[in-house]
Amino acid sequence: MTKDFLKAFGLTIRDQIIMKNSVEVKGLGTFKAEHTSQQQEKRADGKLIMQPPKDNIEFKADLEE
Amino acid sequence: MLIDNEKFIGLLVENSGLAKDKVEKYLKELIDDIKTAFDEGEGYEVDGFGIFSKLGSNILFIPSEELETEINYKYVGMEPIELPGGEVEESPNSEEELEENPIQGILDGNKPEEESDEYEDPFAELFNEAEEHESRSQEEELEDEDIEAVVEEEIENEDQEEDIFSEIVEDLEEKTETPSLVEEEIEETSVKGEQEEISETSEELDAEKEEEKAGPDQWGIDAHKEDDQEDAFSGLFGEDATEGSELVDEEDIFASEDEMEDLQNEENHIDETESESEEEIDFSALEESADDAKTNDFDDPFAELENEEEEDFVPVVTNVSSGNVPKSKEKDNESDEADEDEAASDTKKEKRLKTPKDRKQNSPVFLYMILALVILGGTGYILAYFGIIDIDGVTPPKYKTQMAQTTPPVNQPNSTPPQINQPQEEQPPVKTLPEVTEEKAASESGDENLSTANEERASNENSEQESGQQQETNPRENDLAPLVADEKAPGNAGIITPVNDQTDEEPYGLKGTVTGTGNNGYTIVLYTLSRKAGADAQFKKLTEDGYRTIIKERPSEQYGTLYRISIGQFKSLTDAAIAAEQVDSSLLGNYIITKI
Repeated sequence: MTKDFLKAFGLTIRDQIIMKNSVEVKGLGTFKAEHTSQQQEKRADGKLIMQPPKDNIEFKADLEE
Repeated sequence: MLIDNEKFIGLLVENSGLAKDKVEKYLKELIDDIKTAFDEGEGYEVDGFGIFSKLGSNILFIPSEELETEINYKYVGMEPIELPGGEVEESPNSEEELEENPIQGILDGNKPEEESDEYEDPFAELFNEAEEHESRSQEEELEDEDIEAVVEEEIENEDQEEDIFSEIVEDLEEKTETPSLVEEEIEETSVKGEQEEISETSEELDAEKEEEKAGPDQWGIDAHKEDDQEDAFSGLFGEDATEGSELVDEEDIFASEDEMEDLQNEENHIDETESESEEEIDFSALEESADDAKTNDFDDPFAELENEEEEDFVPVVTNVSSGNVPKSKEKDNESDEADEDEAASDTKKEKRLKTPKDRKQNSPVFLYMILALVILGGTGYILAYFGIIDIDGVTPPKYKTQMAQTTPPVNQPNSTPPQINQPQEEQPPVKTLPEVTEEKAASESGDENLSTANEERASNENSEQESGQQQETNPRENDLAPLVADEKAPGNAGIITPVNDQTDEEPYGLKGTVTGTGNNGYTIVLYTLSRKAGADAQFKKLTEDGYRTIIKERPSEQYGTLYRISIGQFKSLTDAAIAAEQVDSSLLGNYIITKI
């Protein structure tokens, strides 16, 4: 396992996540992009805050115990 | 779209340049290392990617900051925004209240009066106190006056003094020829005979009347004070009430005129006046004593009040004619202190009588002016605070940024863009995408802040902007216009895709080739990638699909050079939004529409 492989591993998953694709790595798990829409939050002081949208990586483990 | 293990290995082969078997081997080693780390109770970190950790039976993946940032390039610069709605819900009420109050105050004649009443309360109290004090003194006076008036009437009816007065009046009217010398003599004689006559009249009164005025001294004092008040109110009322005093004055007037007239009848008049002098002496003596009483006792303050407030004392006049004896008594007893108090109360009365009226006239004007200023100032501040008006120092900067953000409303279904099957790193971008070196150089030298701001705007134009905010897009477009113009100013700076300058090509459209004139419009942004190889691959695929594909470099200090991939050239934002609906949803993903 080389450093280049690890770099390519990260870049490949990242690019697919950016393109909203799910990536399945057998024996490890599935990476999936989860989008959180912008949403309003009401603070305790009564102010309405618009939270910006955000993409998160959701990981579902597939490791064999 | 799901990238299964087989596809993933193929992508790894493309991206790493390694053989497939090596990739599979390394991948297996990686999984084993992660398991080993978990067995040891540790986490496993892939540099630049994230950390795999195990908490209990749960295996977690914590993306690195770099990865999290890269997958959120679209939303770069988007920060939590404080919406005006949270405060607007409350503020309109307060504003309405603020606006309603002055309007009601202006329209309703009641409120200012109430306010003035509120202001007048202390003065009214003082005024009432003064009135009560006056009314009390007047009531007491009137009571005493009533008692003494009855006595006087009886005296006048019974005594010869009535005859004397009537005769004097008649004689003076008919015989207006008395010389001054005679008058002086009369006065002298009257002064000398004051006490005698007073004693005589008092004796007569004692004989005829009963207990109260039995004492000659008391009677004399009372008589003087009655005359005092007659004189005091003579200036205010009294033709009828001040006949006696006027008669005396008429004597003087006639005396001065008589000097000019006849001297022949002097002797005859002297004889007559001698006989009548005794009668006149009584009257003159009373007047003189009344004058003394005026100056010494109390008449000055009341005279001032009465002169100032004639109308207020009109109903009192009828009783005053009978004489205000008790006043003098009380004030003789109270001495100068009472006079000073009354004088002070008089001055207070003057102020009180004026100030309420003045306030009634002036206070509404000042209130209206103040309210108008407050409303104008408050309205301006609120408008500036919420970004409707841009006032430096008032408009919050975050609102300015919000104003600068454009949010084209685009509703689009979730979709997955096409997969990249080509090894990105192995593709030399120069082969597939001939770069426009000049434009690239211009973009590299471009203002990074501007690009960051544009990135913010672009990110804010995200399709995630809900339809509820569509109404806000139009004003924001206007706010963005100059900023976008700056972006266009360098001449398609940052666009590294080839431009078709052929005239037969339509300047705007979703498909075809990119035109130079079309770069003035809008485009649909699909991706923003950090690697040029990936951008080139996307460009190739989209171009093969027939889309006008644009790759634009976006230099950023924080994230380095970004590559924005967009399709289509549209004259207006609306055209772009309409065209976006025609694009395959699997291609669009979370797209945004922005200026090219």
